[in-house]
Amino acid sequence: MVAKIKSIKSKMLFFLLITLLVVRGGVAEASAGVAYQPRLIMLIDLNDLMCFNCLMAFSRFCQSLPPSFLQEKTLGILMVKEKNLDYHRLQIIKKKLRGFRQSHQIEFPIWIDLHGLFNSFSSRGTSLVLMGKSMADCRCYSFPLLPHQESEILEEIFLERE
Amino acid sequence: MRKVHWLSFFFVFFLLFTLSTASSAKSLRISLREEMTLGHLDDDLIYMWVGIAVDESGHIYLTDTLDYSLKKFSPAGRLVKKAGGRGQGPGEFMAPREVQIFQNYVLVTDQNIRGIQVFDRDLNFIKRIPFSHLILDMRVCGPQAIALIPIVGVGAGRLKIIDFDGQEVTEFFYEKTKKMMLDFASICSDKEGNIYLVFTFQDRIEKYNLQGKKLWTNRLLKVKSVSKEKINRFEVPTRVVYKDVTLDPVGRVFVLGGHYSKHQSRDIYVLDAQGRYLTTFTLPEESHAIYIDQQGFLYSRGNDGVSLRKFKIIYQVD
Repeated sequence: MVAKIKSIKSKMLFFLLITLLVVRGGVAEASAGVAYQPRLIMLIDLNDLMCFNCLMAFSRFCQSLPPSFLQEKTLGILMVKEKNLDYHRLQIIKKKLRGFRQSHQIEFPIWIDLHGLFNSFSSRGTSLVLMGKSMADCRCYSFPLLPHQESEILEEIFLERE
Repeated sequence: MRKVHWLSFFFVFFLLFTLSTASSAKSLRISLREEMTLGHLDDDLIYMWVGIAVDESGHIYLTDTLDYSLKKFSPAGRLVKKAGGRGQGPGEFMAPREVQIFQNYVLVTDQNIRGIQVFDRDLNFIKRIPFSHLILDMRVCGPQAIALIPIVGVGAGRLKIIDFDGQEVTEFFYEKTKKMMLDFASICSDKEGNIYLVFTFQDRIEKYNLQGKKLWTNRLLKVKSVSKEKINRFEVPTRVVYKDVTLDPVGRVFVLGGHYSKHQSRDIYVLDAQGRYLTTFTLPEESHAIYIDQQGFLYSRGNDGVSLRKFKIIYQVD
């Protein structure tokens, strides 16, 4: 029952995030006759990013995206595996996140998933969800990305921009 | 009469024996008094420190892996200078690790870049000491000698001593296992240049002279073998026995325990220079490393690496 509630919660949050993303960049697009454009949700596991290869892959990928896309159409979620996080621990995580964002010049907003709503993704480690051109096109990739996955994502993003 | 004589002889003998054992069994107790905390939750001084060195004047040098930097702090804890940045160029880091003071220089290793970067005490980049492998641990062990544990792979366990130009002075094997990562170790050095080595995934604390002769081994925790996990094709150890080793100014050996300690990553075992166990004390917070400076202050991690804690060590002999 609890699992079911969690799953519903998770789905609701995911839906809300997508709505938020659509609203953030969607008004101008709708008036221009484009209903949907690719958007990204970065699901970040800070421990995962202590792994050099994952960190480099993540960082390199972020740098390959157009700054306007990162600012307008990308959301980050910091997955926290710890349960019952107290205020002190949250402050530590916030500080680490601050350092991470600063050193990698990350400009998209990152939310901290305090309640473990995205836990179902945590087994994949740091990953990204790409919402493609059509409403039915939603894909998930894990870092480090394979070369063909990276070009697939970039192609989708850059094609749409053209 | 003779019986009384013998009895008094035994009594005197017993008395002397008891007194002598009592005097030699003096126990050492260690407690800590916090002197300073560097980096708080609301500032941006430290994000995740890894390596530490303190010079003779009390200046603190830290590597910060989250912002790819080397930082110098005044003895009072003020940030004096920050160097580095992400990259592989001169003075840049990909994953800065160990830091050591060597003559008038500051040496820094990087987990993902070969060689040692050399900075002056003002953190200006000077040069890179070439080295053929990535470096697991590094300690200065004499006026012209730097001890390194290279990451070589299976069948490693090799300690290399190089000079300031990267020329090999000597090398010796401390472990010849073919099992992955069982040679991983932390090192420190005393004034005579002897090397103390604690194994990350084995219950072994050892002392070697510079010629590679093993002087003693101690196993404090009675760990036979550590638990392993299969990652891809490889079976790797996952639980740490000993995390770090450092010496106090009189040469006592301080060893930070890992997952097998009663207080994980907090218990510090103290041995004398001959490897005899003296005492155990416990840090207030988990740490990945410990360091004792020339004045005898102990440094450890606070707030999961966003703070550095400095303690005065208080020794008590009972």
